[in-house]
Amino acid sequence: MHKEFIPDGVLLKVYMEGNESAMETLVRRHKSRIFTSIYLLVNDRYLAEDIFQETFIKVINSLRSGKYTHEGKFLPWALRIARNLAIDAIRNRGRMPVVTDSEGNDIFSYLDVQEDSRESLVIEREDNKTLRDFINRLPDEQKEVLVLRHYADLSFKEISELTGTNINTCIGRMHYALINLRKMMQKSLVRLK
Amino acid sequence: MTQSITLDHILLLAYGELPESVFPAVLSAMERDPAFRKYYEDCLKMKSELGEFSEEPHPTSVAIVTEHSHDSHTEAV
Repeated sequence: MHKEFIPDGVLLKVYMEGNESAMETLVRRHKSRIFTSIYLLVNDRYLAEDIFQETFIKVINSLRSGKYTHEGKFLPWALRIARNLAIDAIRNRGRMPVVTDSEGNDIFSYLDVQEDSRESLVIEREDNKTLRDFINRLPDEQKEVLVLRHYADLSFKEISELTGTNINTCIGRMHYALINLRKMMQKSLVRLK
Repeated sequence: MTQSITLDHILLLAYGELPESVFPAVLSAMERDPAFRKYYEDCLKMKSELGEFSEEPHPTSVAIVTEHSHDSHTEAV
């Protein structure tokens, strides 16, 4: 059966009016884009889970306290919160211990594989890891624009507003991000799916 | 006045953000210059390769968020 699409703005409005299930719809709708963006920005699944939770808790608290003013769309607003939390976390990361196994791998990276260890899933995760490694080798400002444009699906104008950077600078950074990624892919002779 | 077309325009086209007013000029520039066409094809290829990556939060994270929403709703009521 075709399910009618309810715009984010309507969901926010009814949530603030007391319809609690509207938040579940917003979380389900945007969780993948927001989590993927956070994960790529901080390159640490465990930390990304924390930031994801904290982002939505801040979103909910802002809505409940009436601080949200409908000035922007939901996704750019939530991503702005997530980005600020990610930047804080990256700044503080130097003080956080990383728990590794005997080969130096972060033990938390295994946690999500335990539930399903089928071969196809392992291969998919290897491909994802390779791509994630490439993205993390980009200069921070290029990585940020690439993640927000490609994975968060923000427009260059929205990225420009979110980061406080000129739109042409954002486009230029994206241009170099794609060139650098392509070089890395060619160099490693890895063909991603 | 003829607008000069740059790679930025081609990138915007690949990401569906090219202003309609520039569209004809960009298309004819791509017809004239193979370098523009090649860059456009490279952008689309990169988009396709990058597009495969997606990660989901752990169900516990989602549960924590929805529980917080529920708790704050109950408090408000």
